[in-house]
Amino acid sequence: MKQTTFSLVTGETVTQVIHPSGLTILVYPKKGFRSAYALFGTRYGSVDTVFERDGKRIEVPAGIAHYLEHKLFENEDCDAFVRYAATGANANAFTSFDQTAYLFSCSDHFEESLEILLDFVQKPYFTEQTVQKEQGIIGQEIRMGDDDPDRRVLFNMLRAMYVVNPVRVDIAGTVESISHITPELLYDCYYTFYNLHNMVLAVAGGVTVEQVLAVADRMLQPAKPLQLDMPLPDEPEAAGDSRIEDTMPVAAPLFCLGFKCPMTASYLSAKDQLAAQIITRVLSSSSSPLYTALMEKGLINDSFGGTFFDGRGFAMFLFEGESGEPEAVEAALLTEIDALRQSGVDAERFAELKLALYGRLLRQLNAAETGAMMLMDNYFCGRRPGEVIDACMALTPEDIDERLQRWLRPEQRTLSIVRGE
Amino acid sequence: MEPVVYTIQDGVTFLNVPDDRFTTALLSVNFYVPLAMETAGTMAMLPPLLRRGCRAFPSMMAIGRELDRLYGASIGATVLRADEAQALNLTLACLDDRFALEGAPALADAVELLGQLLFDPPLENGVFREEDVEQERRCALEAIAAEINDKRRYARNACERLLCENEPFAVPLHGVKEQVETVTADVLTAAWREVLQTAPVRILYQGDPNGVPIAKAFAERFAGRQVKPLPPMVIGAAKPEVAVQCERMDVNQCQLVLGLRSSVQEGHPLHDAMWLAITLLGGTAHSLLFMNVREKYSLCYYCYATAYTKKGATLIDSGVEPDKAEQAKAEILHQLERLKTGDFTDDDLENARRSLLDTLLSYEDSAMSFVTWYIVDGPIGDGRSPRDVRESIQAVTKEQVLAAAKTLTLDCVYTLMPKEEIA
Repeated sequence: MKQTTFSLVTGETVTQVIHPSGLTILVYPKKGFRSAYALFGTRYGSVDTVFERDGKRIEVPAGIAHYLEHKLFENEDCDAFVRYAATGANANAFTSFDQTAYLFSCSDHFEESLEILLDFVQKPYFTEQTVQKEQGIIGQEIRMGDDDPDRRVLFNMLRAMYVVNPVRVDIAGTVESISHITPELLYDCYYTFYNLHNMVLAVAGGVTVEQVLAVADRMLQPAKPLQLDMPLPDEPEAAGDSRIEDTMPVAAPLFCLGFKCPMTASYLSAKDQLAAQIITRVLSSSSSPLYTALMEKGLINDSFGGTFFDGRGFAMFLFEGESGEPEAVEAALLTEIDALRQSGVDAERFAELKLALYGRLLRQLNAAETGAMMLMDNYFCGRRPGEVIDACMALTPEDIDERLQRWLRPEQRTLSIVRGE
Repeated sequence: MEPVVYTIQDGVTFLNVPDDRFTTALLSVNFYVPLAMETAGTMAMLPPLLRRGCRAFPSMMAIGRELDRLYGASIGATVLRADEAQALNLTLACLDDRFALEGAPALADAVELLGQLLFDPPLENGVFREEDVEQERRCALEAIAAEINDKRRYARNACERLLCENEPFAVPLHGVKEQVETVTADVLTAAWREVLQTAPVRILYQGDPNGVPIAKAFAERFAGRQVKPLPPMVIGAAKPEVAVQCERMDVNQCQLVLGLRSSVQEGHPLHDAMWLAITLLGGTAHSLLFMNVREKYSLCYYCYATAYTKKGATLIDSGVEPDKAEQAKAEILHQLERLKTGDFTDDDLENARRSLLDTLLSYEDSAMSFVTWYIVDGPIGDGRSPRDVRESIQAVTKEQVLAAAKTLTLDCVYTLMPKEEIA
């Protein structure tokens, strides 16, 4: 068992353990906390629909990672929610493009809840009948998404912007695609991706390393060595389509303007991510001249905002909001980006935004939930605990300017609009 | 953990929670005004309008840059529901000075900025600037219109309005279009002055003990006001006949919302028993509703019951296939009947209790949740801490749960349906 301790700027520590079972365990004890938050995650999400298993190429229906997440809660003898009911923990799970995670938060009976988490995720049980039962439930989850214009405007944008990258397909799949899911396909996915070498356990809050390891030693079954090939999709640098439109019952048109960032590795570096956040704020936060100008012209309202969104094999800038004239917002953003690329980031503005970034990174350490999420995300991206804050301190204006030349080019953009009927 | 409560004067309280476990300090100011159709839109516009500037930092850009400099501090400006009152809320979140770089602390400056936003807006000829008012009115109107975008929230709001028709509780938190359209700079300025002078105020600080003197000095700025108490809550009862409302829209899924009334309200001896009863019915992923409507019959993705226990109002909502709405409604009512008749196991009850107790305990480890607990409790709330409620929930008996559940009466059913019914 290899154990390493990392110090954070708050004076707290994170302990990383490579458990003999193959699982990496991260524990972030928070002094004075009663509650704890645990995440058991795998590097497996909706984008992983083609893979090799025992030398055989397998292609699975869209939405299967999310379906598997639902079905794993049901073991042969009992539903995991019912087991958690006896501990009082609040349990849940989520599937994203590139991760699936099972989680609970609790203020009491931590060890019992952790035992349940480690147990049910390691015990898949899929039959024709149980798989069938979930069609109705997930069908309604998909229908709920179909009626959500914020989701539609984003997923339409992804579908138009990406040409081959599977982030262009909705995480939950469609009512049609999930109807092809069988127990055999679920087992294929499970035994490929739910190998402890491909997973992480991240715990934060009122816990000790010893407490977590005692349960882990008892519950984890040694995993076979794993060779997983997750190649980068051969995605062109330019956006597939520069425009996509749809209609739904909405009050005013919703828009999502995305800019695809070219990827040279599976994940961006910490520096890339931080630079992207600074760029986003220079361009579109309420402290930017563009925000003020667009607000004065009545082209945006306070729902407008820019974010940076990245994961395994993808990264993008998103500028979203509600506007009577989304094309005018797009034009204004393109002009602003061009000007920023020419001038570079203002030194004083850069210094302010770096302080702001530092403060926001520290805020993530406030709660057990955000602490555990941060540990898991950074682990999957190959970053040590605390690395992002160090990278923030080392950031220079040149880091921003260099990236401005590669990112946010007009040909990398897609404007998605959802208009009322 | 219990806040230390200082009464600055009658109707003005400062709740202090010294706590060194967090990296960020929170300072929240809340003015309480009665929810009323004639004023709700005006009042809801005040926090974001004040957030637009002060004389020292007269624009959103200037404030934004100042907040960036203060380690990305944030000032949220919003309106929250505190039963039949609006809580006009400005909350500052600022990096604790222990983590400031090179000895450049931020809390005092950030608190000063919050004070200036409240007391020293950039007025022109004694009133708010016309361009600020215009932009804020447009944002408010667009936000009201955009209610339709989120179908679940839209349906819940519609059911709430049906449930508490003609009571202040049914007034939309952000007001209505017709009223917001009439709001002028003069109206807003008068409202701001009135709120500063007369609205009950609750100020909360949660953060490092070193920040307490700064927060306390801030709270003391609210002394010497003429506070008007809030009116008591309207006591409502279920309608004699169940009201049914169906709205049609171009949607795929049916939003089904049931509204229930109960005579168990604020101060009633069964108040906490009702809280537990609703948790058992539909507050968890092992509740009667979840285990049956979702898990047993696969009718939905979510089916939850949420209670405004002080008001004696409960909503049960679910998103279902349109042609299964009747089946889902029947199953929800069947589970409600099971709750009322005690057709559940002791384990079911204890599981609900454990879940609720766990949640109540977790408030203490989330600064924002803890502060919000006291904001929505409001000045006419009972002032109990999550820990107080926890003790009370521990003592609730099965008989009390049954007695509380028996008072639940179906009052209305709201459905949002696709235009062409799929049958």
